[in-house]
Amino acid sequence: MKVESVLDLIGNTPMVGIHSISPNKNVKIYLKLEGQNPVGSSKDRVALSMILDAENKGILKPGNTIVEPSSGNTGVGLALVSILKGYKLVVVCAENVTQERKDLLRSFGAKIEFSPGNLGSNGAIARAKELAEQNPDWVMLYQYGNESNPVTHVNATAPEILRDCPEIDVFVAGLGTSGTLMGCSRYFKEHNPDVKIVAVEPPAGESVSGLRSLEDGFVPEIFQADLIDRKFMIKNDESIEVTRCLLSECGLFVGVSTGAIVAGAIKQAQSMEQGTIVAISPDSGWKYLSAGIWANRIEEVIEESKSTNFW
Amino acid sequence: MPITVRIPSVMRANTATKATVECEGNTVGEVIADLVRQHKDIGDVLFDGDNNLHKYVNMYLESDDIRYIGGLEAPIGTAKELTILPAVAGGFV
Repeated sequence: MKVESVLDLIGNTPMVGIHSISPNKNVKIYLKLEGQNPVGSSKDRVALSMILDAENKGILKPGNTIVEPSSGNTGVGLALVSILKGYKLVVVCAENVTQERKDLLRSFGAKIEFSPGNLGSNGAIARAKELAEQNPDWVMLYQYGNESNPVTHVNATAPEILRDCPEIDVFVAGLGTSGTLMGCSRYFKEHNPDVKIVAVEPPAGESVSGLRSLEDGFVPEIFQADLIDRKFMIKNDESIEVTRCLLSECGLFVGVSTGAIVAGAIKQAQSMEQGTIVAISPDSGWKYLSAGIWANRIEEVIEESKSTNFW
Repeated sequence: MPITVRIPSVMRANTATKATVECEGNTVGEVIADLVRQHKDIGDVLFDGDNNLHKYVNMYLESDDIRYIGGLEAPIGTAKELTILPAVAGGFV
């Protein structure tokens, strides 16, 4: 494989079987490794798609500053594209994200603006919106409400899955911005409507201690409930256990969100007679080493997870 | 069989600060009705003016979001835990 730009390396990620951890021998599980994108996550696709779309619409011009709420992956994806296109970048993230994410963003030349850790991603979104209002020449691409987020998955992620695994029965992905789920669901509903769409989410509402009332709640603007068939909430301890299991059983070094998504795939497999599940691994494990996910005692990691924003 | 209903911190002012409440019922709706019988005020935060589940409230029977398994009609079956959580931005950003 030979390409002319690192941006040409975004997408076309591989898929690997993890059937040995399926609880049902008649159900195969494949994991699509989005950590193989150039700066390490599925958000590389989203970052490039949002920037190209904003350029095409004339919203974003050379020399502009981009501001975006992100706990890391979208931020570093935007940083990569910004380096090549000459944009300045401000990433707003909760102060309790892992050190690697902060280091990575700074290495790519992004400026970090911190929001209070106890407000979680809600706080980062609110602060980014404030900054965009205060600085009229800054452009907020806003992944939670930007149509080019799901569109990149309609155009690329889902077609790659159907090309590589036409026998797919169930698609499982994490629910953050909901871009992967919404985009892939739209594509499957058109090209193979029998594919069931399963969403997995962390118990985020429990860890956001700064939430004052329900009215501070949040549902991404791009989320459409009717594009999902089932939704699991996976607790942190289960996510961490499966993340470790993926390394010890399958040799896969993946992030904690992958552990949650595979835990959801396992629950789904238990309720099926037979078939094939494709699950998304949003990123690899490198950005979580400092949290001791693999090296520390599991009880310590679970305790730590209560005050760290892994997602 | 009683089922444990987990209350998120943002709603505990409505349950006399209790983090869990033991309730009875054969469906999610019956369990929630029992919860409201024990702690009347929580009904006001769980449901909107049209008596639908508030858009920022998620409920999980064990790990399944009830909106996708029949909503308030979902049977409890052998489940031991119903978890209520506020919808916030989270996930894999």
